[in-house]
Amino acid sequence: MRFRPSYKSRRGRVGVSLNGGSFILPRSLKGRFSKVSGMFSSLMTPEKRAVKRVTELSRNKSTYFGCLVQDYISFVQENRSCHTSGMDFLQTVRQFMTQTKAYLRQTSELDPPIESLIPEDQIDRVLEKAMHKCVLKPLKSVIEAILHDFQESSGAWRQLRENLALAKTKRPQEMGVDGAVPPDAVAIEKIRQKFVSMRKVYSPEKKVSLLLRVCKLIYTIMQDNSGRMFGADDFLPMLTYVVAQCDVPQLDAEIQYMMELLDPTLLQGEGGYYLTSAYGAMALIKNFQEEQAARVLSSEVRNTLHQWHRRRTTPRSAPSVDDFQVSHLS
Amino acid sequence: MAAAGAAGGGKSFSFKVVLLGEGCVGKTSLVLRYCENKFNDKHITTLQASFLTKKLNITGKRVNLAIWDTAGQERFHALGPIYYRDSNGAVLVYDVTDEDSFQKVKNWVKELRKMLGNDICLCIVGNKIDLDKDRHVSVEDAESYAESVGAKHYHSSAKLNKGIEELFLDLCKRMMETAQLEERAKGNGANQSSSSRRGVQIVDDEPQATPAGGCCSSG
Repeated sequence: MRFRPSYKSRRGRVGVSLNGGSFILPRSLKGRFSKVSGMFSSLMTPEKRAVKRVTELSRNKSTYFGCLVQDYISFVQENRSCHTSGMDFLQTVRQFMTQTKAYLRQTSELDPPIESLIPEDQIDRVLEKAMHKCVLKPLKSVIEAILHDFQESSGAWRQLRENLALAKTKRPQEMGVDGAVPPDAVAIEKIRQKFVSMRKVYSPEKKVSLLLRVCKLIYTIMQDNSGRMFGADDFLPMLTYVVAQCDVPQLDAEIQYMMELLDPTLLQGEGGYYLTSAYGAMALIKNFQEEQAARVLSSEVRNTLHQWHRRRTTPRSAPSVDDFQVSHLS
Repeated sequence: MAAAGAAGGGKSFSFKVVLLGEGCVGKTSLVLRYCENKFNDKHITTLQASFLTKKLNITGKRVNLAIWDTAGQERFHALGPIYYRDSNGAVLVYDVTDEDSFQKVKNWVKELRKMLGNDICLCIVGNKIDLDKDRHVSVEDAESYAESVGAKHYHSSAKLNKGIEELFLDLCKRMMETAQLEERAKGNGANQSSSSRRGVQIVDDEPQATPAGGCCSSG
C-alpha cells in the first residue's frame, strides 16, 4: 500500500512567517485559555497552533489524513504479531511518520497551510512533533507491550535481567573504568529515577533529553572529582557501570524506541551520540557473559600473535614491538 | 549520502567525523585542542570531550562538524560500527612512540574500508611529535601506508597545538569534495530527495516503502 493522495500542485502562496518574535503565553494563563481554546487559539504560538491543527486533522476521519492515521493506529493495535522483531516493528512506525510528514507538506487538507504559520526551516521539526502527538501518544502503551513481547518470546528479557544482575555485582574497574570517580549510591538512585521517568514520556526527543541529563550528571561527577574533561575512553566505561548499577531492564526497550523513532536527522547530533553510547553500554551488558569469554579468547589470540611477532623480529637490532607493548597490555 | 546542502538556499555542509584510536594516544586532547573554548551553549553536556562540534567557513561555505569520539580499549572494539556508521570522515590517531597503536590504526582502516568503502575520507594522525626522540613509527612507513590506503597522513602534537587545525581543515575540504561529487553523481533530479539526509526515506519509489498495513500484505 502506497500513499496515493491527489497531490495538489504545490501552492504558490508565499509563506507568511508569524514567528518573527517569540510569543510566550504565561503558564498561569494557559489553563484559563484552554477552556475557550477556539476563540483564543490565535493567542497560541504558531508552533502550537500548527501542532494542534495537525492533531485535530488526524482525528477527523472525514479527511484523507485522518483516515490514514486512525487506520494505522487501529492496524497496529489489532495486529500485534505481524512483525519479525521489535526493530522491524519500530521501523515501520518510523516509516509511517516520515511518509505522513511528507504527505502533510503537500496536502491541501491542512488549512491554513503549514508554511503560513511556520518558517520553512522549522516546518519539519514542527511536523515531527505533531506526528509524535498523533501517532506515538496513542500507541505508546501498545508499542511498549509489543516490544516487551518480543523480548519475552526471544528469551532476551530473561538474559538481560540475568546479565544486568551479574553486571551490577562488578566493580567500576571491572567495567573498564580507569581512574575516574564513579557516582555514589545517592547519585545512582537519582539517575535511576531519571531512567524511570523516561518511560513516562512518549516523545523520543523528550526521552533523549532525559538521557542527556543523565550523561551530564555522570560527567559532572567525573569532572568534580578530577578537574579534567573526559572523552569516550573514560565516559563509555562509566556509563556502562552506571547503567549496570541502575538495574532498569526496561531501559533496553527505551533505547530501542529512541534509536528507531527519533527523527533521523537528529541522529548525527549530540542526542544521537549519547543514544549510541547508551546503546553500546547496554549491548556490553547484554553480552556480559559472552564478552568475558570473548576477552579470554582475544587475549589468547593476542598472545599467539605476540609469539609469532617475536619469532619474526628477533634478528632485528631495533627495538621490537614487544618492548613497548608489554607495558601497554599488562 | 553526505548530509550536504540541507539548508535551502545558502550552501552548507554537515559532516560526521569519527575519532578512532587506542586509549592513551591522545585522541581526547587532540579534539579538545581543536574545539578549545568553543563549546556550544546549546549542548547540554558542554563540559566534556566525547561529542564536540565545530563550525567552519571554508571558501564561503558553512561547514558543521560533529566529532564523535570512541572508546579505544579493546573491549569496546565491537561497538565500532554503531559509532562510525554514516560517518563522512574518520580521524585515526596513533602515538608515534607506540608501534602497537599504529597497528591498531591499520586494523581500523581495514575495517572502515570494508564496511564503508571509499565513501569515507580517512585521515591518519601520528600524535605526540613532541616526543619525537622516542619515535617508534617511522615517518616513511606511516606516510607510504597512508598513501596505499587512500588516506592522508598528518603529524600532530596536542600538547604543543601543532598540526591539528591543518588536519581537520584538509579533512573538511576532502569531505566537501566527496559530498559535491556525490551530489553531482545523483545528477539531474535536483529535487528534495537530493537534500535529504541518509537514512531518511521520503522518496516515493522506494521499493519497500510500505506504510500502514503493508507489512503483512507483502509477507
